[in-house]
Amino acid sequence: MNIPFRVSIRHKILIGSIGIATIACLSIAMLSYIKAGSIIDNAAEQGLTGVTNHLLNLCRTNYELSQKTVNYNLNVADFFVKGKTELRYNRPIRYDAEDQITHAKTPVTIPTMAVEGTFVSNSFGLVDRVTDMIGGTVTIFQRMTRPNGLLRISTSVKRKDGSRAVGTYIPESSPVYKTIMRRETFRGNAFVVNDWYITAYKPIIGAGNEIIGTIYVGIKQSEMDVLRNKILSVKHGASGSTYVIDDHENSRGTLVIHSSMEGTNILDRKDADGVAYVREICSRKNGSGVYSIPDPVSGDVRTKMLQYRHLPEMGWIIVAEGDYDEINSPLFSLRNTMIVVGILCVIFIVVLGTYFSNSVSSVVRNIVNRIKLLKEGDFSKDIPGEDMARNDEFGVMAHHFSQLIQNTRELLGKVRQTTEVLTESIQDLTISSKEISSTSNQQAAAVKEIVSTMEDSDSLSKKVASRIDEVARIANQTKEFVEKGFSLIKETLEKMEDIQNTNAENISGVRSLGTQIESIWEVVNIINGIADQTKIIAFNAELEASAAGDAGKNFQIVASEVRRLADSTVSSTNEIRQKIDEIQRSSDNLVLSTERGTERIREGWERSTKLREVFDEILNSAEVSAASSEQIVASVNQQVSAFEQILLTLRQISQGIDDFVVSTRATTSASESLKETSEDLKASLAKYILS
Amino acid sequence: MYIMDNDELIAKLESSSGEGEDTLSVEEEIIHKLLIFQIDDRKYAVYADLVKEIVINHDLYFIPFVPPYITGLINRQGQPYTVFDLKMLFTNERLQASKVMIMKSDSDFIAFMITDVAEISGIPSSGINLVVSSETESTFIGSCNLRGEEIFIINVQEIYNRLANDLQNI
Repeated sequence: MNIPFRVSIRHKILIGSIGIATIACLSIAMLSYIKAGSIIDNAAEQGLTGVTNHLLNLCRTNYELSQKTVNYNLNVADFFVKGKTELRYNRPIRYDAEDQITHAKTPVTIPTMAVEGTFVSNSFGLVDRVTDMIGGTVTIFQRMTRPNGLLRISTSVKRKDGSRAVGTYIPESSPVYKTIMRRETFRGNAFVVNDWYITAYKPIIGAGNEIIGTIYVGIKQSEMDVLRNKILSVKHGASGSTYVIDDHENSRGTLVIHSSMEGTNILDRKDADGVAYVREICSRKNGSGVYSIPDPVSGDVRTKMLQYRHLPEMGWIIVAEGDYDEINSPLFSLRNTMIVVGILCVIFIVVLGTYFSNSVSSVVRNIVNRIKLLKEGDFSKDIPGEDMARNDEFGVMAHHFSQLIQNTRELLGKVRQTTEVLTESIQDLTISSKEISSTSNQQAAAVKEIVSTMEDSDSLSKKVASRIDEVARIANQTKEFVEKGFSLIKETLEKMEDIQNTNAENISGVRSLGTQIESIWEVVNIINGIADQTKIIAFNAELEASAAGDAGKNFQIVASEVRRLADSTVSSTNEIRQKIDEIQRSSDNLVLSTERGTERIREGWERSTKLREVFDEILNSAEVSAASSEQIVASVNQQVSAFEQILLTLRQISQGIDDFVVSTRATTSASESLKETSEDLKASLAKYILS
Repeated sequence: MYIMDNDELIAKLESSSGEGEDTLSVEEEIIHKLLIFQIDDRKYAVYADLVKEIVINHDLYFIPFVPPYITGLINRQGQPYTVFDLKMLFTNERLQASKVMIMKSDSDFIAFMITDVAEISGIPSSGINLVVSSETESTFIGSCNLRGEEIFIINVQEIYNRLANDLQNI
């Protein structure tokens, strides 16, 4: 906030302290006043509440006692009339029956009533005797029709003019009548002629077991003197008062008990603000309020604090009233005291504030003067010693400010030195940044070349990748072909194995044939041996025949034929042998050729097996080749990807270098600006006086 | 080779009984019965009347400390016969054969191992060429021509004498 005029610290301190003290005192006073007022109001309200509660309990207790008395009295009165009452129809009597509520009169003629032979209609001996015995009032009612009601024919109840209320009747609308007609006893508060009584009514039953009348006993509520006196004696404060307002329907607002206005109906009375406070009290029945009520005697308007409670048994509203001014008189006294004290406090604070403001402002003034010198660049002078010697915050402040001046002086000296060094360094920095800028330009160009080369490499890698893809595809195809060839080889091997097995069977068959031939050979040999032996025998026979001479000639012939037979056999066996030889040679040749074939087949099988192994290896190789191709594809793709990343990185590096070039230029520019700034700073520092 | 049946054989026997002198019908020439045998593929002959019998597959018992042309002994009906290997004698090579030709002799029980017996052939004296001049000639009596093949006739006696000499010298 800009103050249009200059206000010194001293004045500010003074005004501030006075203002703070005043505000504080006023705040405390206000709060205290309000708090005290609230406390006093609460206390007053509680006091009035206590009064009304006390009176309420008192009235209730009194009522209950009275009702008990009335109940007892009824029994006494009933003793006199029960079973002894009769109507004499031969002696009718005429009344002007008056409704006790509306006061409307109706002429009626009814038979007279007698109790133990004594007429009681318009006779008061019995009722007076009973009244004397039990106190209160006693009435004998006779039931009447047209209109329906209970007619007082003998009573001790008096009208306002003092006359007995004979001829008045309780209408059929009354709760008393209704209760009696139910042959029940009515006990409670009831309106009797012109007032409210604590009553008891009991039906009188005639000889024909019909209700012929009612016996009544009662005590006027307002004639309970003890209660009345008690109520009137209770008051809150010197000018407080208590009273009772009637809340019955037909007498609402009437002062039942009052020190001076008993019987007066104040229902429509209003306070000074126009509030119909009595009607409000009768409406709310329980509560409190503050009203400006004019005094009925003097007419002075006084603020009253009212507390009221409803006693439904008696139809009363008990009101306790307190004078507001009387209640709040301590508060007013407190207010006055606080005003005096506040004024004194303000005076005291003004004096004290003046002293402290002077004390503070001198130090501040000195410091301000020093700051002026500092503003002009003179750091050679310090704060006066007496200011620094003070034992308060200003002394500390002066001390610290003096320190600050010294530190600043030293700092400026160092800054001056540093500025010179800085100027030299900035000069060097400018030169270096220029060199860096030049170098970065060269690097940028070189990186661009690298980027170009990498782009070519990238495209080449992509071509290689596509080629490798093709190779991989072909490798996979080759693998498929090899697999097919492998399966064919496998089939071939199986076929060769079958051929081998068949061949082996053939060889086995041939061998078996050879075995059989050998067995034939054995037979032939046997035949040959037999033939040979036969031939030998024939020879021997021939020899014997020859030795026998002529005698053995025939024998010689036989032997010769036998020999010839043997020779023939031998010759045949030789032929057979030749044939067998031929067969055997053939079978041997066949075996040989078969074995050669087998050998060939075995060689073929071995070759096929080797071929299968080779194919296996080829297949493995093809698989490896395909896998390797795929790995190569993956590697190449990775390489392509890596190349792309490298290319991207190089582009970023190139971009970074470009940015670096730009920033280097900016650095160069900044260093030159710094150089200018440092020279300006040096020039600026030159004007400070440090010693 | 034609083999006569029984009827033909009986007929020939009956015819031959009337021709008992056929062998002498060749005018005063003596027909010598030569037994032609083979040693390996060479044929030799001996006078058939010097041969007792021919046996086959007879057990041969080896004799130590005898000349190498002595193959061993055979036991023929309780009589031991010394078996000569003529091949060893002629060619100094051992003969592998199963037939043994037992010679007739009262004192020398000799047998020759032969490969086979070819035939017994009647050769007239004019067909036999006697050989007397050399050492080998002493082993052979001579030779004959049988169906164009020259066959030497073994001098059995000489072989007996040689064996005796050799045995004495052992």
